Amino acid sequence: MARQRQIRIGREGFYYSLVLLAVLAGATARQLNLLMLVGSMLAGPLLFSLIYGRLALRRIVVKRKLPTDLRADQRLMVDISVTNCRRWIGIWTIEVEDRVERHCTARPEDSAAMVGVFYPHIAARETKQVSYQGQLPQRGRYGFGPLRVSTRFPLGLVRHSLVLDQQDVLLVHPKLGRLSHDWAQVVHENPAGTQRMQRRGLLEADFYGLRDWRPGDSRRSIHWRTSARRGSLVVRQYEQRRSQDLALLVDLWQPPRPTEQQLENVEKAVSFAATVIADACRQSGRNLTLSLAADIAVHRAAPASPFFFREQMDLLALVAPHAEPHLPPTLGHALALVGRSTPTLLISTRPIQWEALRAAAAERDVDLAGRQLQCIDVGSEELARYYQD
Amino acid sequence: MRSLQFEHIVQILMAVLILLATMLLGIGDRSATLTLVSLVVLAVSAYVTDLKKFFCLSQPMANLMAVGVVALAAVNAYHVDRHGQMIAVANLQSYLQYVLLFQSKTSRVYWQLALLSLGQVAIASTLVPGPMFGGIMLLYLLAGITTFALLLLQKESARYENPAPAATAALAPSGMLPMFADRQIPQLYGSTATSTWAAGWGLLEQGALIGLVTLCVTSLIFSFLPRWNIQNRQQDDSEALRSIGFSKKVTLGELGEVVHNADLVMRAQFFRGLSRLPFKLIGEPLFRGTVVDRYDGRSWTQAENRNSVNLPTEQRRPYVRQRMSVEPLESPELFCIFPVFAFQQESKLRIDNSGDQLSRLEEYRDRSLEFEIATTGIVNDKQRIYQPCEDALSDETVLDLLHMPLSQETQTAALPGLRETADRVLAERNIQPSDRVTAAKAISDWFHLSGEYFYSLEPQSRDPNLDPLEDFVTRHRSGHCEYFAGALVMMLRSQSIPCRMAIGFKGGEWNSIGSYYQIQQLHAHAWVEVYLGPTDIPPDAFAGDDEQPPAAWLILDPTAGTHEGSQDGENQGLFIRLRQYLDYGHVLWNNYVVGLNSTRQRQGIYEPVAQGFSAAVENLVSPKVWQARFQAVYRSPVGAFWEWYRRHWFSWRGGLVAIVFSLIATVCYLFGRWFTERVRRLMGKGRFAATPPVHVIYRRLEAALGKQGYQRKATQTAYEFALAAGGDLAENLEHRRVAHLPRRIVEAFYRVRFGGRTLDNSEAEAVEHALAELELVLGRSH
Repeated sequence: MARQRQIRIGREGFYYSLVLLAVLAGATARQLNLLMLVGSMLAGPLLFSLIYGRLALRRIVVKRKLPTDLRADQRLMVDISVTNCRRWIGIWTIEVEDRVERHCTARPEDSAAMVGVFYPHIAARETKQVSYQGQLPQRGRYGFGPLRVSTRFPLGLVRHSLVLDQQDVLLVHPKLGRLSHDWAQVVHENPAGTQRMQRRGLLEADFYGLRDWRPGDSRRSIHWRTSARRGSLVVRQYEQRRSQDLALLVDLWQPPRPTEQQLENVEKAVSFAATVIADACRQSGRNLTLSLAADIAVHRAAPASPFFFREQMDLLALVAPHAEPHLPPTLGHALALVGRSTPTLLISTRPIQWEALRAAAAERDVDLAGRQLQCIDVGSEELARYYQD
Repeated sequence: MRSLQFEHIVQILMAVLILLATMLLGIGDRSATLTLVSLVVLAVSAYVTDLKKFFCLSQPMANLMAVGVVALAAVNAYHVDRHGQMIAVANLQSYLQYVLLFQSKTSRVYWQLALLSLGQVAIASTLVPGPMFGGIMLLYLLAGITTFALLLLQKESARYENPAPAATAALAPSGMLPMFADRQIPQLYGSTATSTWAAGWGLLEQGALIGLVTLCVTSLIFSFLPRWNIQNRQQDDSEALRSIGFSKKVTLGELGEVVHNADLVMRAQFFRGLSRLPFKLIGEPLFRGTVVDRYDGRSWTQAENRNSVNLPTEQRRPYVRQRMSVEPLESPELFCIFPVFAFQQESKLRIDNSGDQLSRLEEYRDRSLEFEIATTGIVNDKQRIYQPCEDALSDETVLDLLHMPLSQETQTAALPGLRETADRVLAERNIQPSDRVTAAKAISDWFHLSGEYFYSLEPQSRDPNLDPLEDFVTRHRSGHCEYFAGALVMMLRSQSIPCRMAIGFKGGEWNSIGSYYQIQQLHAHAWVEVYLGPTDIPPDAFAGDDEQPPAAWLILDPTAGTHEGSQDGENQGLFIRLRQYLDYGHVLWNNYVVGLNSTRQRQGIYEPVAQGFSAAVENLVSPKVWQARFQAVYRSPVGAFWEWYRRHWFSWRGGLVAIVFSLIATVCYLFGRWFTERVRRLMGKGRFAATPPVHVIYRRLEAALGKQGYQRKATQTAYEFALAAGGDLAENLEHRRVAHLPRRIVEAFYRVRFGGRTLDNSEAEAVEHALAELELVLGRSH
């Protein structure tokens, strides 16, 4: 870890030095011993300030601890711990400043920010930890560092600084919203949706009710107690869970000179997509397909799992929109890889270009008719029906 | 809350700074008014402005008042002398401070207050040359360092102690850019919580360290900053002492009044030849101030007017240097051991043409004076009894030394009783008056040996019809040294032995700390000097000298009952020892602080440092020195042991010795480590944040709960176990107060074990306390 030292005399130190020089000069010119004594006494603290900071910052260890993952709507807490490795001498008024900068920003006006923590006193061989908190409102890659440790003890005349080239990176995932009940109906209750029969078993189904025995029913499902009471055979009924695969197509478009609303739409689209993926990954047994038309085209398909979820969050954290005027054909092509009865959601930041989609799908011999294709323009009011921040 | 405490302490310390500065001014001006007024203003402003905030001067109003104050001070300073102008400037600084005190206290205001008090200290440095200035300055320095260190702590802490913001608030702490201000996201900066107790003691330690460093730096800079004026400009304003008895006319009885006075007159040091080490004389030295030879019945005067000439500069051997530091005196006479000569032409000193009296020039009167001259009046560390004379006295001068007062009635020699007594003493001893030395000694000794005469400082009633000396010798045989000496002079003169009375100081208090004599008024003394012509000088009087002087003075002290041996400070009480330390400190202050000039700097600092440095380099690089060292070690028991050990290297003895040494070294090392650690623990500085190993925390918790029968089930997580156990403990009256501890301990355990965090000192201590309390309560009821 590179360490760079800096020393700077502050305003107070400048004026103090002036006064000191004036006193010594006057005393020497007039040969006044007691005034020389006063001047000499003034020199002591200044010299101490020049030396102390250098010694104090020599044997300290500073560590930063970032959270493992963070979403844009979550509170950031970063722990900064400082260890004083000296055996006998404590250190005073230690400031640690951290630099936080957003990388890969689509908004060039965003800039780095400095944030600091303060330690009034750290005794010899002691570690103290302080956190700074905040909120990183946008998704993306954030760089932390370098750390700058400084002290102005004892009189604030001289600032000694040590710059530690300790860099860390944090990926901030898009923030998640809430999906409405309407969304659940769209995705989960589609009677024509693909049903993947699961292995039957008591643990795999919910008890539904009782009915009369019909030929073909298993003897295991006979409810003997009720049957004895009624005098006729009664069997248990179970509700079979139907797992639903899901395909998500995202057209992340933004004009070359976007308005504020259009910028907001891109973020909404990303958040909506992330929320859908998060919701889907909560239930196992699903296959998820994500096809993303952005600055890079991405196509992913895998069973829903926490790993898949994290992977897509990392992707969505960094994805940037494209400026192609027409719907990228990759989205239409992706339909060829998705089952006909798989619910498919197309999220777009502009009005849906049906013709372009149809044409792209046709290139892969895919017919949109009969597909469970739901298209949502995040700029329209339709989004509010399914998703809320 | 903590910021408030800091601020209060800063205000108090700033008040101390201001008061110290005004005290210094008050000492210099001999007035306590400014200090008292400042105290009142400080108290009022603290209450009205800082505490209750009833009243606070705005900046424009404060500026206006400052201008008015400056104008007023300028008017006051216009018609006064230099001293008055300095005081006016100092007062102006006080008034400006008063204006600042009623303003809201910011860092800028504190610095301005400190700057003004520094200005007062600078002015005081020209008014107060005494050691008290140094003492108060030290306090001022410590107070200033502590004040501004606390101010820095307070200011920096306040910057970071912002409360957690609301969701839409956009308040950023001063000096820091808010993170992504365009999103209006507030920020929170944390600062470590430090207990006031620990920080306070730590700050005192740090302040002491800074003070120590400052003292070292001060000493270095002050000592080595070059002086180029021989005469230091700083003058001593103390009043001149009135010296009674040290003029050309001495009235009988006046000396008795002087010897009750303990005022310091001078300090004297003696050096053999060119040596730098002062030494103490054997016996009490007699410092002659003036000589009187004409007695008119009540007073002693000098027979002739003497002219002042420059000191002789011809060196004679053997000589002893005498370095005198004389306090301000009214009279020009100086005191030393005679005969004297100077090493170089002394511009400040004069000697009379007969070489009997030393004096200073008119412009050096009424001020303290330091001078160094040599004397041949000391041999073998003892003052000579026979003082050599440059030239034999003329007959006329000798006649003056034989002068006896005449009786007014008969016009014959007065003092018949003295004469008869002298005759009787010599007759009894069968001594001829022509044998001056023997006769003089015999009469002088008679005062000691007769047992009839007593030394007393108390006023004695005398027969008004008799001469006081006659009365002393024949009737009332008690008196002080004037009477003894005067009587001896008259008795000797009655036997045609020329002599005179010398007045000065005898002995003095020996300060063993600084190796000098401290001569006070109470050491005033009178003695007799007998003139010896060439034929009267005993052959062995000047044995060992280069040449026999043509004449000499025999010194006799007839006073009986004077203190035997000087007060050398040995075997004396603590109080006297302390007084000697204080006086030596005063000497050092006067010589090496207030009075540090180029000569003293060169002799006392530059040359010793240069010599010391040369010697150190010589010691390091000289092969002869190293050879001598090695030989010394070889000849010592260590060398003998080493020689023995070499011979027995491979023997069982050698091995045993090696083992023993190793064991001793190991034990010493381990003991040192253990002792150091104990000391550190006692001082509250244990080892690195004693975070116990993670698993130990949980094991101890399980063990403590196990004593009450709580066992974690296999299906329970540690947290669930802690909750369950805590719930049970809460239902037990005896354990209720520790019911919350298992959950807290497990939370800390989780943070470390799964969260990857480390516990800082305070957290580790909290966990330790929780475990200890749990173990105690549950173990007690087991």
